[in-house]
Amino acid sequence: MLNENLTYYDALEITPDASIEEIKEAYLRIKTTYQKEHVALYTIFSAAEREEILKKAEEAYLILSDRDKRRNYDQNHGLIVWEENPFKRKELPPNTGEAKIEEAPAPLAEIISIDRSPPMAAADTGEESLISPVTDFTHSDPPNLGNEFKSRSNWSSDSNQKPARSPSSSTSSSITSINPKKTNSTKIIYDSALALDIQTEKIWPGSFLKKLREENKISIEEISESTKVSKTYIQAIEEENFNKLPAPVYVRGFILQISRALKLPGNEVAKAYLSRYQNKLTG
Amino acid sequence: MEGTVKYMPSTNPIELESQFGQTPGTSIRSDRARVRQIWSVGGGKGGVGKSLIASSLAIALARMGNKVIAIDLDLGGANLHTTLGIDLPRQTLSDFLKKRVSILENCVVETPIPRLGLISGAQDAIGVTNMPSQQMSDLLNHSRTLDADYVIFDLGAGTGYHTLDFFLASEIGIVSLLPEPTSIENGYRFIKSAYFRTLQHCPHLADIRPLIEAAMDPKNELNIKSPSELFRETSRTYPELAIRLKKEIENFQPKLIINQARTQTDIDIGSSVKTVSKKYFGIEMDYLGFLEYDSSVWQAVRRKRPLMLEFPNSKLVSAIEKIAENLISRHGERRNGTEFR
Repeated sequence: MLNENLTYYDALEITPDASIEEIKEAYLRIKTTYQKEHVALYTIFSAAEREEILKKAEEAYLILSDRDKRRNYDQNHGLIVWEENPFKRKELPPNTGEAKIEEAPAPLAEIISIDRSPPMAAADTGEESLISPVTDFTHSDPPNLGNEFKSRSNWSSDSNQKPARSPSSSTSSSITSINPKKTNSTKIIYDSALALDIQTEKIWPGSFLKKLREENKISIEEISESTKVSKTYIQAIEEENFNKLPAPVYVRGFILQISRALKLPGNEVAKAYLSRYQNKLTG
Repeated sequence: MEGTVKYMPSTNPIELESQFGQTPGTSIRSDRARVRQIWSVGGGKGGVGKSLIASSLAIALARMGNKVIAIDLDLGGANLHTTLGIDLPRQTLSDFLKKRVSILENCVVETPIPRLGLISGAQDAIGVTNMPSQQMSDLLNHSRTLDADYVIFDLGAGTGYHTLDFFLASEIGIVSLLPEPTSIENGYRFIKSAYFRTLQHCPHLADIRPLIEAAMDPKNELNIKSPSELFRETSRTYPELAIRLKKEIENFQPKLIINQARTQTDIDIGSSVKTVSKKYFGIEMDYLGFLEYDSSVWQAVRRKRPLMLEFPNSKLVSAIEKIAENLISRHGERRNGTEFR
C-alpha cells in the first residue's frame, strides 16, 4: 500500500527470487489474512481495500505460479533477478519518483528463504556475486560456438597439467561487470575430442564444467572475476554441492555466465543443470 | 515483606552519588551505560498479559545467568511486583520521581529470583503519571546505568507519550496481543502511534514534520490518512526525504506476541498481523511466538507467585524461555544507539 506501482511480487509480499513453494505459501498467507472479517484487518483495512488486495494477489498468483508466464512477466518488468544485484534490483518507476518502500535491504534479507542462504551471504565480498545486466544475458548464446572449437593437439598430451593459478585479482566494483577486454583476451579453445564431447553433452555435470575451465587454464579466481559469480558459488556449482547454492533463479544466472565465459551453449547447460538442481530441491 | 532486602548494587551508591552530583535527576552520561539492552512490553490494551510477559521474560533472562532489573512503568496501575511475588516494595519508582532518592539504583528491591531486581511502580503518588519530559529522560538515562545486563520495562496500557517513548527507547519493543478484536484494535493503535512518534522525533525528517503530524490526526486537512499517503505526499513534496523516511520506517521493527491463544486460528493471527502491518505500514514485524491460553496462570496470579516458579514445567514457561533465547540469539547485539532526545 505504500506504493502504487506494485509488482506481482509486492502484491504477494515476496521478492522476485522467491521459489515456487514460497510463492504458494505467500499466496495462502494472503488468502488467509485477507478473508472476510478477519480480525487482523480490524481498523486497518476497509472492505474495499481488502477486496482490492485480494484481487491483486489472485492476479499475481495466476502469473507467478506459472513458470512461463512468470518468466515473461519478469522479462517485461526488468525483474530478471539473476541479472542484477539482488539487493539493488528493480527499476524505480521513472514517472513517479517514489522510492519503493518494500525493497528495504534488511527485510529483504529476512524474506529470502531461510533454508538456503541468499546469494550475498556466502559471497566472499558483496560485489563478487554481481553479474552482468540484462542486455548481456539476452545475447548470452555464443553465436559463433563452432568457430572456437579449433583443434589443439598438444592439449591432449598435456591434460595432467594443473591450470595456472593467478593471484587473486582485485574485485571490480562495477555492476556492469563483464569486462569485455578480459573476456575477449582469454581465448577459449577446445581440442577436437573435447569439442565433440561438448557437442554431444546432455547432462552437463559440474565436474565437466570444471574440466572445461581447467582445460583453458582459467582459475576459479579468474572465472569468478569475469562472470562476477562468487568463488564459493563457482566451486559449489562445479562440485554440485547444491546445499551451498542459492535459489534456482540465481543459479540459472550463474550457469549462463559461466557458459558464456567458456563459450558453451548457455541455455542448454542451464536447463540440464537446473533440472538436476530442482529435482534435488523438491525431492 | 519478609525476604525482601534492599538490593545492593555492586557499585557503592555513595560513590555514585558524588560522581554524579547531588542534584536529583542529574543526567548521567550515556558512556556510563552498563545495561546491554532494554526490552519493553506494551500493547495498548489493559489485561493483555503485559506484566505477566514482562516478569516471565525477566525471570527467564535471569535464569539464563543475566543480571536483570524489571521496571514497572505502568504508572498508576502498577502490579509487576505482584507477578513477581512481592507484596509491597519499600522503595519504588516514585521515590526517584519525587526526588526522595537521587539514584534510580537505590530504588531496586530484590526479588525471590536470583539475579533479578525490581523497581516497582506500586503506591505511586497521584499525578506521577504525568511525568515531565525532563524526568522522563532522566529516568531513561538512569535505567541505562543500572547494574544489570538487561532492563525490562513493563509499560502501561494506552498510547500516552511516556509509554510510547519508553517503548521506542528500548532495543526490543514487544507488543502483546490477544486474539480478539478489542485487543487487535488497541494493538494497531499502539503500533500506529509509536510509528508516527518515531517519525515525528526523527531530526532528519524535520522538514516533513507537519506532514507527519497531519497524518497522526485522522481528520487532518491534508487528508493524509495512512502511512502510504504520508509516503506519497513526502515523495511529492520532498522526494529526497522519502528515502530517509523509508529508512526510518525500516528501523522500526516491533516484536509481536499473541497471548492466550486457544486455537490454530488464534496462533495464525500473529502471522496475519505481520502480513497486514507490512502492507499497511511497510514495517517488518517480528512474530516472536504465541502463548497458549492456560488456566494455571490464574492460579499463579491468585497465589501471588511468579508463573515461572509456580509451573516451571508448563508449556507456557517453555514458550517464554524459547522467546527469550530466540531474542538474544537474533537481536543480542542490537543497540539503539540514539539517545532519547
